[in-house]
This record gives sequence, structure tokens and C-alpha cells, in this order.
Amino acid sequence: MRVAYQTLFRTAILLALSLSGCSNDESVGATSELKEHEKVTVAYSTDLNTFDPVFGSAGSDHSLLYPLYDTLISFDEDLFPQPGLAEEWEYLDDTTLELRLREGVLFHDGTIMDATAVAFNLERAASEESYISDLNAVETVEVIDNLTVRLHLQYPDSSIVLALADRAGMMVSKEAIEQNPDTIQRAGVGAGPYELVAWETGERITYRKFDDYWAEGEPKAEILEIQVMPNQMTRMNALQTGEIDFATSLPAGEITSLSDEKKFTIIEGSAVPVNMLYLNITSAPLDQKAVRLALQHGIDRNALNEAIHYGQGEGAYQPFPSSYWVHNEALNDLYDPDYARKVLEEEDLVGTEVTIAHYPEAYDERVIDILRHQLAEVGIVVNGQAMEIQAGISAYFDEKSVPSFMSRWTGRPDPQMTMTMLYHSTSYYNTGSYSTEEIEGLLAEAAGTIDNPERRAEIYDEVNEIGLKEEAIFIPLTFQPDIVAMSTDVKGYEPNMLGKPKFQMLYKEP
Amino acid sequence: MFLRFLTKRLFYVIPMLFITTFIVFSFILLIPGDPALAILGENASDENLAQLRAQLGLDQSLFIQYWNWLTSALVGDLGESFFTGESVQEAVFSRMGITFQLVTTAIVIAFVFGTTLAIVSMMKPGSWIDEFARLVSTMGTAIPNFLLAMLLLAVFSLSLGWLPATGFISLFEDPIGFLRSVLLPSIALGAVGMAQITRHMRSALIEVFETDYIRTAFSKGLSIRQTIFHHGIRNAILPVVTTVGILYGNLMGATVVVETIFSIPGIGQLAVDSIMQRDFAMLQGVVLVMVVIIIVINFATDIIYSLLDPRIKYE
Repeated sequence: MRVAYQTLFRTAILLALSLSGCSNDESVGATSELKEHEKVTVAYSTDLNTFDPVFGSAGSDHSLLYPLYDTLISFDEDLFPQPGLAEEWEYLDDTTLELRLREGVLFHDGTIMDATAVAFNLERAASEESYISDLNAVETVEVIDNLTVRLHLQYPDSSIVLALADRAGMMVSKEAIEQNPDTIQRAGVGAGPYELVAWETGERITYRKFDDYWAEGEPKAEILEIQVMPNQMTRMNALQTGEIDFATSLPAGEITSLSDEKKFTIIEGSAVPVNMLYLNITSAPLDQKAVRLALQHGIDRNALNEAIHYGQGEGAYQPFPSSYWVHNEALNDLYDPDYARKVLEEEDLVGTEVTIAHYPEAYDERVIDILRHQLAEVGIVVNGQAMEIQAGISAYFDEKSVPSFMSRWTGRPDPQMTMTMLYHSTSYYNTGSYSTEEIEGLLAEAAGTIDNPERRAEIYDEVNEIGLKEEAIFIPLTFQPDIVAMSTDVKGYEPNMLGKPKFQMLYKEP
Repeated sequence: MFLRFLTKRLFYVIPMLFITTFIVFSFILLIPGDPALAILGENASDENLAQLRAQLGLDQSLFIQYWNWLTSALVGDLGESFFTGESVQEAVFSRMGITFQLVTTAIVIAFVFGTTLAIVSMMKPGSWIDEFARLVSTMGTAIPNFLLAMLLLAVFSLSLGWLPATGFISLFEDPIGFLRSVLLPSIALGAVGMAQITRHMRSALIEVFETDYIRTAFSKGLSIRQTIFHHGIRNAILPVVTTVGILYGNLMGATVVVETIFSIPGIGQLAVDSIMQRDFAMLQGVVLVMVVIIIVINFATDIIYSLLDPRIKYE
């Protein structure tokens, strides 16, 4: 026994000695042969599901896929299309889109990214097995020459160009897929600025600069490491202690503790993801239009935003934030509690109970409390029903056992995708499959309006007028502020309205 | 004799493994939420769902699904994650390695400090150190581990900058880095254990001190220190061994909160993620390995018993 105690005692002393001797050691996880500024470490909230772009559906995957996969089309911060792997594109007619590809682009396995590889990828994305529905309009893909492909569409679709800036446009090495498609899931081979070093599930993804990347001088950092940190406070702590260089999705209320320090740059952006109430219009009591209208007109989104985002986000009276090109200021008069109360009184529906399923998070609980209070004023009794994420999704979208679900619309690169998915009767997100002929006619017109963005924006205004004000097909609530923070030596960050940062731009000044 | 005990123990373990894994398997399927739906998201058309369910084997009956899992597991194949395609064995063993190192450090800290406090307070009853030991054991039980974790983090990482706030480095990769990465989380995790060990050890020592042989020891003229170290500890340590065995199981389950706060990719995090995503294949692997570890620990506790107390015989 004495021996055991002595061993323990020695261990304790060793422990104490080794700790005291290493308090100024180099930072945890630093790679010795690499200079400090050559590696950028990012903390991100979610891990990846798969490196195969066409067999995933999570919106959180994109930022982890972008470093590896260049897309055919890129986008600027306002979500206007920009050249990507395709240098130019042109509609030859309403249903034919021609892409001219960049020359001399290589995949990470050394094979050439040419028209054949692009056609192969697009056909794969448009196939039955793929999880992507963005290319449903594509009938065939034709290879014209080495660097030219043509997409022949079954019907006009104005969202196709920006769909090629999303998963469908991420080009994977044809040879890698042909050799073994299953390996792509864990070890993607793309033509992006970084190639994959390792994916330690639940922990980190490490990327190394791709030396043969087509853009001169890009990327600027040698190593990009993305650490998975689901907890907001953990991301902030890690930034404060210098363990990471860049942290995403930080909480609006806590960020002040960072802003007092000069070591950090904080950037607050506006993005398309919108918090909203999904409504199943065929389910009681939401089958009564008066109840839906009372919900729509009875919520003061500005007050809600003040309370939960400390005024840093934006109240949502439409699916598009104010800095987006399709936003229409005239729609922002939705809040009208007198009207909300009146429609309920006219139908003798004052006191109607509405059950809203929501996530069991503190944030969501607070929103529900505010909604309960605001809607009680107009005569609606809100019952919150906390459900963890998969149970909520199953209950609302699959079993249809709850009439309303408070969740997030993660947004899409093109507004046509958002409008179709939220309003069209065939959309998965329109659980009650409810729409009007007028709305669907307008959506078809917008799909065919390929070269006139002003006209498209007008059509969306009309759809929103009917869909939100008259029919209340869904209830937009708030745009969450998109807050990132980084140490001041990190450069290159450009926020985008998609709310999916491209980490390959980041570098550190020596 | 010992071999017979071992064989008997193994016979008892096998049905236990079958029963636990089957119960977990049936419970998993009772949780609302469908992994196929989670994977497909907006592309969950009826055909896609049916195809994916068939691909994952979810269209089979509970017994057939369990049988398929079991026959693969028996030949050492725990399958692949529904989501990431990662091998379940690899994921579970690498994550378990991390949690095991964390929990073991927590237990070592709890044991060393817990027993030391108890002994010192026995040597000087009523002194400030005795009061301090009592305070520590009360606070250790009362302060939840997440709060302690956040306090330690605020002081030692954010304010003083002595220790990292996140991450984990394996003992086998870099022992010093390991100690630095694991110290705060293991103190947060081990505080409850330390409190329990202090209390159990202290009361066991008090009990031992009332026995005849201790009085004999004193009457031989032994000092209190000699009495405690030569006669007291060995007799008082048995309940502590039981506590440590139980603590292992408790802490294995409790690590998830501490793992989240310190961003340590351990088994707790993996279990929660698998439940959230309905990654049944992964969850089943996690449960299996957890059960095996708990059984091994119980077994080890029994052996330590017999080593400490020669009166205990296994037959």
C-alpha cells in the first residue's frame, strides 16, 4: 500500500512539475515545420456529412466543401453570378445555356477539368440518385468542344446559373468517381484552391494549398484547418486564447466582450437565412385563413429582433433581407395588430390555440415566449412544443402531426429557388401543398425571365403580396445577424449574403 | 480458482451484452425521427426515402435488423456511420481513447486529492485543514461540473492564459501537451469524485479508528501518522475502490458537457451527435463499447478487492 501511495505521490509531483515548466510552451497543435502565419485555423459550428456534393443536403456543409471544390459559377457578396470554373456563360435561347470553361484547370489528382468532366458531373447531379433537385430542369448536357458545354433544359429556369454556384456546380474529379464513387464521401477530389489532408470526424478538417491551382497567387495560406466547435461560447473562448484565428456564428449578446479588445476584428453581416414559422395549411386551425392572417399581422418583428438579437439582426416581413436585390420596402407594413384582431373577431376565432413546434434551445424558447405574448394581444393562444431537431422535422414534414414549426429557411443562391421552395404547392417545404394558381403562374413567369432581373424582382413582389399578406402561406420572423470575429492579423474575409463563408480567402499577414 | 472465477464472470458477461445491445437497439427505433429523412432533407421524395431506407436496412423488421447487426458485430464489423460513412469501430475506438484518457485523469485527480484530504483531516481533526476538507467535499458535490468548467476556463485560460481553452492532445503523442489540454476538464469532471472519495475515505477512517487493532497500535506507542499509514488506509480503502469503480461509469456518461465546453471530441459528444442525427449504426457501436468498458471496470474492481483484502476469496 505504501508503495502505491508513493507512486501516486510521485505522479502528482511530476504532473505539477511538467505543468509549471511548460506554461509558455508554443500554442497547442502548432505544426512545427510551418511558420505561424502560414496556417489559418477556423472554428466552425458543424461537422461535414459527406465530401460528395451530390449526396448531401445540409446547408452547413457548403463552407467546408468550398475550399476543396471550385464551382462552375461563383458569386459576389450580393449574390450576383461571377465567373468560376466557367469563364463565361450565355443563354442561346430560353432553354439552352452555354458555358465556356477556363483553360488549364486541374483536379487535385492531376486530371484535367474539361468539358467531358463537367458534363459527367452535371449529369451525375441531375440524375435520379442525386440528392440535388436544383437541376431538375436539365434534360441533357452536350459537350461542344474541350472547353464548351451546353445545358439543354426541359423548361426555362432562371435559377440555373446560380444553381451552378451551389452543390450542383461543384466539380469532382471524373476519374476519382469512376475509380470508386464511395471514396468521394470521405476523401473528396476537386479543383479548388485546397486539397484535403485529413478529415477527423467531429474534430477537424485539414486542407493543404493545391500547388497547381489555376488562379495565380491563390490561396495565400499553406494550411487551412477547420475545427468543429458546436458551442458558441467555446468558439469565442478559443478565439480569445489565440487557439484559433477565426470564429463563425457568434452570439449577438456576447460579442461585446470581444469588441472591447483591440486584438479582434468583428464583422457583422446580413444574410438570406430567415427564421420563420412554417405552416401546414391543411392542418387545423391553420386551415382557417383568419388564424393565419392574425399570425402574420400580429407579430411585431422589429420588437422581436430588438429583444433576441439586441437590434443587430433585422425583422423579417418578407423572405429577403433589406440589402438583397429582390427586397421590397413596401412589404414591411405587415405588422397591424388591429387588423389581426379584427379578422379573428369577424370569424369568431378569438382565443384559438396554435401549437408551434420548436427546438429545445434557449434562443427558441425566448422567441416563443415573445410570440406568445405578442399574439395573446390579438387573440391567439400560442402553445410551444419543444422537440429536438430530428423529432421536429419528422413530426412536421413527415408525419404532419404538428401544424406549425419554427425553424430556419437557410436560403439559396438564387431568389427563384427560395420563392419556388416556399410557395409552390409541389415543394417539400410547403407541407400543406397549398398555393394559388396566380402564385404558381407568377413563379413560372419568373422562371422564364432569364435576362431581366428588374422584372423578376417585380414578379416576386407580387408573389409576396399575395402569398404573405393575403394567404399567409408562411410567417417570416427575423434575419439573424451573421457575426464573425477574427484576430486582427487575419485578412481576406469577405462576407456573402448566402451566409456561407468561403474560408479559402483567409490568410494571415506575416 | 481465479481462472474459474474469470470463466464464470465471462459467462455472465455474454448474455448481458446481448440483452443490453438488444434493448438499446429496440429503444433507438422507438425514438421519433427517421435517419433517412435526416439524410435526404428537402429531397425526401417517397421513392428516395424508400430507396435509402432499403439501402440502410431500415425497411427490415426489428429482429432482422438486430440479427444483421449482431452477425456483423460478432465478426468484428460494427458497420459504417449512416451519415459520414466513417467506420464505426474506428470512430468509437478513437473517441473512446480520448474520453478514457480524460476520465482516467479525472479519477486520478479525484483519488489523489480526495484520499489526501481525508487522511490529512484525520491526522488533524478539528483543524483548519479538516474544515477545508469538509468545505471541499460539500462544494465538490454542490457545484455542477459545467459551472466549475466555465469558472476554471474563465480564470486559467481566458484571464491568466496558462492553459488552453479547447482541444485535446493524446498522452501518447505529447505527454506535456496532454496534461495541459486535459487538466482543466479533468478537474471539472473529477471534482464530484474527489468530494465523494474524501467523504467515504474520511468516514471509513473514522470507523477503522474505533476498532481494537487501532487501539492496540496506539497502545504500542505508534504515532497517529504511523497508525494511519500502516493500519488505517488499507482497511479504509475498500469503500473508496467501490466509489472509484462507480465513478468510472458515472463520469463516462457525464463527460459530454465538459467535452462540449472544452471542445474535446470524445465519446460523449459522439453519442449525442449520433442520437441527434439518428445515426443508429454509430449509436449502437457507442453503446456496445461503453457496456464492455463498464463491465471490464467492474471486473477490475473485484480483482483489486481481492488484492487489498486477502479475506475476500472468489469462487
